[in-house]
Amino acid sequence: MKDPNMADDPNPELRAELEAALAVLEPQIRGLHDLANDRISNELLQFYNSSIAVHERRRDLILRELTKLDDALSGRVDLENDGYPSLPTVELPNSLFQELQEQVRDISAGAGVFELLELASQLKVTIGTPEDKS
Amino acid sequence: MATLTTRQHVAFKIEPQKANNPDGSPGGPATVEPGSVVVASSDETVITVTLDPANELAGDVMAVAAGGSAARFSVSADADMGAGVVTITGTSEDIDVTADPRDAATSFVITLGAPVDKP
Repeated sequence: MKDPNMADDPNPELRAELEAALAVLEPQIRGLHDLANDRISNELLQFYNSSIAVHERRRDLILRELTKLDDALSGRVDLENDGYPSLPTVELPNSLFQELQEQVRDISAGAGVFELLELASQLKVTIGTPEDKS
Repeated sequence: MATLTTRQHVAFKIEPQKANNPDGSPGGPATVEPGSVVVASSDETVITVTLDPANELAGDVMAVAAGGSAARFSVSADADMGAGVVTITGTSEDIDVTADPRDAATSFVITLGAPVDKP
């Protein structure tokens, strides 16, 4: 039975797909090695070895992805053990809480000194009284 | 419309203003980026416009010649007091330049040359 406190696999569909692919590959790899161990021509052996390399490379890539999924699940467990998603509030002794409240009031008072500068939006032109040129 | 004769000039001032209030009343005074004010005449054959070097929110319009139609001048400035640029503009009223009556002919001066024999 699943532990209700255990984190869920972040991608169970991908894990199932990879494990299914692995279940096909592993007997193929074992079979190819068995074929390569028989008394056969060098030419045929080259084909077997080439196919073994391709299948083992695919197997290694799948195992690498499964390891990443395991790491992600492990990380999820660590987060949940840390209390994720909630964070605890910090409780202060009364004297320190009063000091914090005073600080908040001072900051609010200081910020209240400033107001938004409203930009000019138009230029008014006023012409005076004509005079003779000098 | 303002009127100048060809012998006249006129001072002007520029007042940057905030947007009108919601009730339509004029917005209060505002400021523009120092050094950003630019003026330009619509027809320099009629009027020329210059800013006061000591105060870019003031200047002078000089009549050049009587034109067939009125001229005006535009002003622009940067309203953003920081690194950005927000260009605002304004336009003067129309200015009509007429020939100064003091330049009109009022009489003739006739000057005779030295006498010479008839041919």
